[in-house]
Amino acid sequence: MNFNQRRENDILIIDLSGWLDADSSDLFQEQFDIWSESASKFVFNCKDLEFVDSTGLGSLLLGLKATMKKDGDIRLATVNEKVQMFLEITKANDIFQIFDTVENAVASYT
Amino acid sequence: MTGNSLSLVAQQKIEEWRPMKALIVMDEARCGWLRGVIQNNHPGMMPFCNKPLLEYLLDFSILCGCEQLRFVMDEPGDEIEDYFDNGSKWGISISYASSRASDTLEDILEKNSTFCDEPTLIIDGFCFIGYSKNEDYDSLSDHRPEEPQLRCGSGQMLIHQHGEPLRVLHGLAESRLEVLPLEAIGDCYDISMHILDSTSGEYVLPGYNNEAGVFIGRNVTISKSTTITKPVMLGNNVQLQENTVIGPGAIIGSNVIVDTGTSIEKSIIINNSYVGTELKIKKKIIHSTVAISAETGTSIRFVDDHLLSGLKQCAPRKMPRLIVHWVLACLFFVSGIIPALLFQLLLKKRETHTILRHNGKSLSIASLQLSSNSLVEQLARIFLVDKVMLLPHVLSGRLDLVGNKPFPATPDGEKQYADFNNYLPGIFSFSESQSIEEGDFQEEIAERYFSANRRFWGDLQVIIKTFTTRW
Repeated sequence: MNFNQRRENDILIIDLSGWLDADSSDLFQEQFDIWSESASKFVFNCKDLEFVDSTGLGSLLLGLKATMKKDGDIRLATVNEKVQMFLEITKANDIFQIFDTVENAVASYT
Repeated sequence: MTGNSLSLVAQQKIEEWRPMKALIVMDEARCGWLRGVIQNNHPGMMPFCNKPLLEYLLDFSILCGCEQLRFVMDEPGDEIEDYFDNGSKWGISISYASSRASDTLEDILEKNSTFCDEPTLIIDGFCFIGYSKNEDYDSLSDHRPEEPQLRCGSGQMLIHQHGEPLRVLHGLAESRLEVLPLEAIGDCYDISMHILDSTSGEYVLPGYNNEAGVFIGRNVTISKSTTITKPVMLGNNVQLQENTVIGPGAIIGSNVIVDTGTSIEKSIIINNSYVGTELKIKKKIIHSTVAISAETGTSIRFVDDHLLSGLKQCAPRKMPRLIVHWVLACLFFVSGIIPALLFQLLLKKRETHTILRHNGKSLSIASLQLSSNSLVEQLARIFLVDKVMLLPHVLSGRLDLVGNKPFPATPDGEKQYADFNNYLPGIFSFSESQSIEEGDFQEEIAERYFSANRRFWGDLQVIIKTFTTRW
């Protein structure tokens, strides 16, 4: 699991790549704690996110819960079809807002 | 010609060309793509509304008047022969033949020339036949060039008559008949949904169908809080837990559990699958841990067993055999319990260990470990004292009287269990009756052979042989 980050105003854009699963969820949570110190609004660019399992989804949900306490949010962008299917089956697509592009996701905060 | 002569000629004509035999040819080149999507089954056994594809083709062949049918495949599967056997269940004689991947249809006909000595209907390729059980296909073999040919990208229907060239059949203006391609998982999905939605009355479908659009198999458990919207089809041994929402357009196979709060709509759940809690399955095909989008064919494999997983099919425990085993166990118990208790008092060699039952659950048993060290132990072995002490487990239904040598409830034992189809542990085992040493590789072969060839008289022979071997 790799992360790149960039900022657009008060929105932190994180490029996720690799697998978000039981092996990488601890790392993700550690990183998220660091990111949360400087932002509460996130866009996760999932273009290179290949796979998510229930542990990975749990990490995302924990992050969402933490940001919502600060009136923030996590929005997902460019989710590939397989991850999209996983989110649909687990009903996570009812919880996260999902956008076709990073730009649209960023624009949704305004 | 008089009217009577015409009808006689017509009758003779019908009898001359009406196909008496059918050849179903399914080559890996055209059906192999499905193996990459739905694993563990031959593509010909792909269920459409809980009925294998090959059974639809068989039904159609019978409708055309065929009395003998042969399956020809270059990669046959045991499950096909296990399911269809000799065809007696359908009143047709079924045989099986192999072909090579490089064989053309002409090569196959030549190799099966003895079978194809009468007019033969040939269904070649990987395709679905859209027909109606209520219609008449007597004139199928007539040449009707004005009607479209019965062929598609992945299959065709032909007629073979001795002395005439192979001919692709044509459709019938007055009867429903079409050849539908099976080239992608979406084709399978669309056909299944179409049958469920619109044409279920045209086919013989499994399940109890007292209400239009609802098919329910045997041993189906439906929670009171389950919502069912038709059309819906449930296979055998299906469990629908609390607050599940099933349908419209749900096809659920056999041995499926749908756990609490899950909704299934316009989807197919293939046999032996577990669908976890609070999931939303819409326009998907689920097989064990794999979810496939019906629209795009994209598939994902779930690694979380609590979301999607496969269910191992337990070996069926047939009631007549169970009853006979129970009666025999009673007789042995009544006649042997007192001597067995006496021997047990003398020997005091009871040990407790845990074995796996037929459903994978653990069972703790206390048994006598007998060797040939002392005269008492030898006598105890001869009088099957160790078996008598295990009879209460047979009487309570936890074990069979004659079955496989039980696997220990250890990681190795569980691995063996997962790899062993039709595992049914018993207190008498085939390998012991054959005096095969424990741990010998022959033991596994013998046990698997026994599982695959179980017969009532074979069970009796195992008991008798064990007794005589110990004597």
